[in-house]
Amino acid sequence: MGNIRIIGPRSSGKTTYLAALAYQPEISQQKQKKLRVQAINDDTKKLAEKAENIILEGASLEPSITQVNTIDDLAVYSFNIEFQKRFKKENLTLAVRDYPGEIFEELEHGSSNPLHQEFIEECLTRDVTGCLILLTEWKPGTDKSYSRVIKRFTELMDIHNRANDLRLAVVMGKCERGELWPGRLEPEMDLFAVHLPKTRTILRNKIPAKNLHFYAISTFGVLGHNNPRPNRIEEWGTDGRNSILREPDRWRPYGLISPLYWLSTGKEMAHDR
Amino acid sequence: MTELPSSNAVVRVIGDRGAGKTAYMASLARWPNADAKSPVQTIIPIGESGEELVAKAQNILEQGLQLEATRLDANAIDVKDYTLRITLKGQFSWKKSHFRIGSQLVNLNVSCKDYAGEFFTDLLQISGSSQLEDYLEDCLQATGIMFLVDGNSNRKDKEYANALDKFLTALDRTDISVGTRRIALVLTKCEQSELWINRHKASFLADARFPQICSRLKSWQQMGVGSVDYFTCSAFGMLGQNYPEPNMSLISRGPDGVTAVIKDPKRWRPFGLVAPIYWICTGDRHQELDKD
Repeated sequence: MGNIRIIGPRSSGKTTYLAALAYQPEISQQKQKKLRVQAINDDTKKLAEKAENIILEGASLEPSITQVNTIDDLAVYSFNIEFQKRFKKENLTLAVRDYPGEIFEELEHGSSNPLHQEFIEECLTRDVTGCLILLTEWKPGTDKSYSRVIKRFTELMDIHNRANDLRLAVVMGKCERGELWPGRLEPEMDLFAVHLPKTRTILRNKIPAKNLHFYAISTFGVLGHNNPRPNRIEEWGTDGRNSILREPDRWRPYGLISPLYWLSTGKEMAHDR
Repeated sequence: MTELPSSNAVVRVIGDRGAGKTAYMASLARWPNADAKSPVQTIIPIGESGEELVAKAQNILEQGLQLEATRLDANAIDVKDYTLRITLKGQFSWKKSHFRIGSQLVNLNVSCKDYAGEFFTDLLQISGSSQLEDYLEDCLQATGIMFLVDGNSNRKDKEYANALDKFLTALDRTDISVGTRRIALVLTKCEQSELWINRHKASFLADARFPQICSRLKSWQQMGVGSVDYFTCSAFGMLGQNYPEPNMSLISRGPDGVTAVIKDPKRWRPFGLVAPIYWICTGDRHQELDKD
């Protein structure tokens, strides 16, 4: 059981990630019955319905700070994830809030907007087990920006007395991209240390080891085992920066559940596609 | 027929407007879709006022409608006193060293007044108000106070803690000892996903979301005049066994908390309503009730 927050810059794919999770029951992979994801409230069911639009047509459902006036305007997504592990069935219930990207970005230079204060406070209340930080870029300058944001976030954690007990799952998204795909198995060493070294160092310095894990995920996945091309077409979505699924029949997301599992239970998941 | 062992309590239900006080009382009186496995055998509303509660439940909540806000009576004495008899299958109590075997039953007789939200938020602001004095006098009759707070109204923690402070101070000022007084902090509307997840950790949840209220309650407890405990409940409950969802349709969400109506009245089953009453009556936590 866990209350989780997802933060990250705009267009890092946070909402698409959640939509893919909500949509999971629909894809054929589910028929293996090893994993079942169930939407358990209205907001999540709506997201699952919109998932097709988001993933197949590139619509953008990301909450933008211009549409969101208060924390109450943010949806709370709730999932039940059921695993079949050998002879045992394991169950995980999650409540997830997806934050507008602007909140993350403004941490870099600080914001005097009391609304943003509210968001951060909501993120750090004691009943939140962990935060998933979704990052995707490493263009020149990004590492420095991210590291400043993370530094500020860890300071806030300390102010709110969460420095020792808030778990952080730091995730590299969109790892179907060619240069990232092979590194997905060892995300900390092969992805973060390579592309976002400053950010990784700050995290290692500030966060207790047991509360910090690195992950790589791909909502779109690749076309096949022997054909690791991204299952994605760059399309002009509603804000010109989104991708859509190239071959819906071969949709195999990668690693979506592991970070959530660890954030709620503190244990590593044994096996996640 | 031998008399069942029984515990009596006189309770006052206080809390902000929209916290769900009347819905709590009505749902308790109605006790819809009782689970045969529940430790609650029956809930019987006594008298006319009790029947009124059941009517509210059937004609309003069960129709998927919203209850009207309770009006503030001019005098506390006019506030309706609802009496309920809750019959439970017994449980083992270390404190009382009775071993209750099998189907022994226990009665909880509760007489409860549901104070309008204005008492808590408005009246408490006005010092020297005779109406306030009147309500406080009435409150002194109570052996137990149920302080209901919408679990989703955590942004009002400070405001509520201030009102609570005034309440407790006034209560202690006027007090003639009534024996141990118990205050149950009851978080309502815990069918909401973020709360439901932690519903079996009521004191953790209360402290996480309402640290100032909890701190004030702890100070009060430390004075030795009474005891405090924490509870979670939902008048509307959940839908479904395997993947429970909130049995509610949302009307609005804001800093005051959540406003909703029942989504599927035919499957209406509240949770956590009886546990605080059991505690107020006996001073014990009931294991089975807490599993709700």
